[in-house]
Amino acid sequence: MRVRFWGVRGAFASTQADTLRVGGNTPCVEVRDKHDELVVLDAGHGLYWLGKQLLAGPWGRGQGHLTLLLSHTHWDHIQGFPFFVPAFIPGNSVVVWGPGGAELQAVMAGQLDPTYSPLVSMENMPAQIRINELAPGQQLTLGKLSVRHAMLPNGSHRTVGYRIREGERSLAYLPELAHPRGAVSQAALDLARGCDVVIHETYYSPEQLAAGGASLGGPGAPAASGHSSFTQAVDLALAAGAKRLLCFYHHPDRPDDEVEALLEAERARIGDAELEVDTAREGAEFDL
Amino acid sequence: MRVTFYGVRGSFPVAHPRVTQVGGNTSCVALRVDGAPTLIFDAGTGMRRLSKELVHEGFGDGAGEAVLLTSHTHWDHIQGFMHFSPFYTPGNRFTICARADHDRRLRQVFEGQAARPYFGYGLERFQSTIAWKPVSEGEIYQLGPYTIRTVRLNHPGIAVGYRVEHGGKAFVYMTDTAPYAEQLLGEGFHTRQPETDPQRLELLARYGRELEAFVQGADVLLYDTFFTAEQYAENPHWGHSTPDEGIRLARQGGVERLVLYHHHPEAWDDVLEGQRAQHQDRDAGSDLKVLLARERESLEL
Repeated sequence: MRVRFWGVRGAFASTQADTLRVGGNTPCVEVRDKHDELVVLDAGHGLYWLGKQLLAGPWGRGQGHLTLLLSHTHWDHIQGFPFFVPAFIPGNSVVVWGPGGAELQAVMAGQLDPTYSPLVSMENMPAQIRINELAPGQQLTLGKLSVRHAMLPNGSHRTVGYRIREGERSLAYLPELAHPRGAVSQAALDLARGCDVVIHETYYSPEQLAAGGASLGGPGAPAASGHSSFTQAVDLALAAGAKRLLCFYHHPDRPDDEVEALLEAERARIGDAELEVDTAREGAEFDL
Repeated sequence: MRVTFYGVRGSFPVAHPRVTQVGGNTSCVALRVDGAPTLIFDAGTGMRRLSKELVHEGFGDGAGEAVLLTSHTHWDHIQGFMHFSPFYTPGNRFTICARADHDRRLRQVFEGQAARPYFGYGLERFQSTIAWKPVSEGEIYQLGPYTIRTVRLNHPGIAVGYRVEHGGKAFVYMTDTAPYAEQLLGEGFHTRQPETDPQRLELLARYGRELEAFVQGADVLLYDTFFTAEQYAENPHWGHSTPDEGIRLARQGGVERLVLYHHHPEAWDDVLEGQRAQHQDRDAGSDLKVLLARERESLEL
């Protein structure tokens, strides 16, 4: 399986130069099996840039197909969808899977409402777009990729975490979750157990989490509820016996140097433990 | 008055090393006059950066007053709204203006982007005092010391342009709009379909004349230059314009400074700088100064 990051930032795009080594687009991850079956995790701003790249291949001729797996429908996970250029080429096909129970079709169409978008309706995206709600426990087979999921608590809402397997290799995608105080989330642990790579959100530094979070809008604005710290992500990956942790969903005000320092602090904390701790970086691509 | 740019990009925020000089945040501009309410044009992602400055200008203590003038409510013009910290501070006072039939509808529009299933919380978390003020085109409003005029812009769903007059100076904020040339845009979905009907052509011409009158004698015209001429020719139905049209409009109105604004997501820094210089040298003449809206830069009027 091949993985490439197109968006690794949480909540809100960061455009400042000192955040662009890690990357400033909201979540979007490209996953391919050995036959190039394409699965995309979340549709943040990064999806635009993925779409641009796809146009050079079958997508430019209306012969592309992908499956989009959504963790949830907060803006930062769907706002790239109306800007996915291949969706405007007839013949292309996008199958969307996401959390059930909230009329996913209507939620996705809601961002195209004429109040908010010149697209007005999903009908004006000429590719074939099918939107499906995940049933509890449902497993998907996409090419050689086997996908299972679990609901993860995150403050006032819940998100879907995914585990994707191809042959002996497994990847866990945990883009937003909060762990219980002083413990690891059992649902997240189950998804991450024995994985080669765990992508885990680290919106907060340990200090920010201890202080009850940090707001996005500056002093006075509410802090986002839920979310994890770098330390919690590492503890989850250790408990799961994972080989490699990639920190993800960074706070928009977190400069690259601070991300590196927080990673370094975690590496020092775990000493000789057999876990590679790094960050997801936009543009970075790897095989597992 | 001082005009400062916080978000200058169109469509969506761009996190890319080739736009960091000009800036990647979506639309947000502030106009400040000492002792008067701050005017904020559009609530794109640049509004988050603005909020971090305003907390040091009275808004952190609940003593701030501002007016938000929204060109329209497409995402790139409102996506910073919920992240504007002064809304959450008791004592601050805001007037929020957008094109709407009535104030309840206007509140609904902003509520619709907040809370489940799109966001963690809604407008009930705001602690400041908010007056919702629907505006329409072709009106004159007196807000504090400012005289504010509105005009209809050529954009899907219709946008509003604002002209602010204060102390003998005039600033025009004009985005998003296509030239009133090929196609008349309004409610609903638009495909490329140049007008042929004589009545609609006459309407196009009339709106075009209104726009020309609207910018007469302005000191600064900030204008939608999302497209190059080639891009516009392909997409006259998108509701965006070009530097050429901005220069034509500014020159016929005797405008002093034209600010190129609402840049295309893939208009890289060096390309924008080059285009500005070329338009200045080749098209604008000596009476009109052509500037590029760059984040964190200000203009004095």
